[in-house]
Amino acid sequence: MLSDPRVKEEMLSLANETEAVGIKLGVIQLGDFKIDNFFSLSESKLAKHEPSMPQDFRAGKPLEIHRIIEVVIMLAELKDVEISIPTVHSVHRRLIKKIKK
Amino acid sequence: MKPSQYSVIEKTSDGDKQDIVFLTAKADNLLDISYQIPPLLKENTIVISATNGIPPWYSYLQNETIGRFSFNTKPRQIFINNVGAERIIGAVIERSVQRLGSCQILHSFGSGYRLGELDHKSSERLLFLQDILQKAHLSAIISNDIHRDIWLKLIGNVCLSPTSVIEEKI
Repeated sequence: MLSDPRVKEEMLSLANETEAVGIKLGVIQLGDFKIDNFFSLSESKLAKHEPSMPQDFRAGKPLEIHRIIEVVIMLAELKDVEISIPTVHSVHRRLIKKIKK
Repeated sequence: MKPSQYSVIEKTSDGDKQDIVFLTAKADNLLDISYQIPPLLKENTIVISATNGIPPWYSYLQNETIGRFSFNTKPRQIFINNVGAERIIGAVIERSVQRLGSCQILHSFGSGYRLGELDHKSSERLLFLQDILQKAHLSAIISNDIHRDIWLKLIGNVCLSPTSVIEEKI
């Protein structure tokens, strides 16, 4: 997945947008999340382990959508937070569409 | 662990009061599960909330950060009413396991937990938990800001999990 530049670019946007919401809320600071470390760690981890969400998807189980992705959307929209997170919205829409297929 | 050392119950009302309760369910089920917790609780029971994502209690005691924006929401009230805020230890799971079959678990990497009090202070019970987890050969890092650690893990989950479903590859 990380070898596909289009996917990697989208994942970078997802990270940046979620990081921006966390910074605005005050729960993290700029520089706490190191994307290069995350990508290199993910490459080695993903070679050994598949995340639980695709496992659950294939098994027809409910996915942890609300407290992983919808919560970010909800918090970004709070008054005085108001962070634009277009990639998170786009991925959320496509995820819901995929589940309903 | 030998079968003689544990038991499995269907309803928490069939179980005894516990010293420690680990909540490791799917994040979206945490609120529903909280209704089943009270029968397991005694005065000093510790409840370790160790799910992915943002748990319902997350804004509690965080009036300097997220609590400024996200107030006493209904899910937070329900969870805290059922569990008791003073019992909760926040946690991030730092190990990956995959169920391969009914009796087979693949442990890929990582070995334990990151644990923290909701007020970010150190405590005797954190040291107690660290000690017993380490005796069970699980790592237990004490966090001085569990909210930060939960959000950092969330960023990773937002990046990887939905994308791996949409793209159907890892």
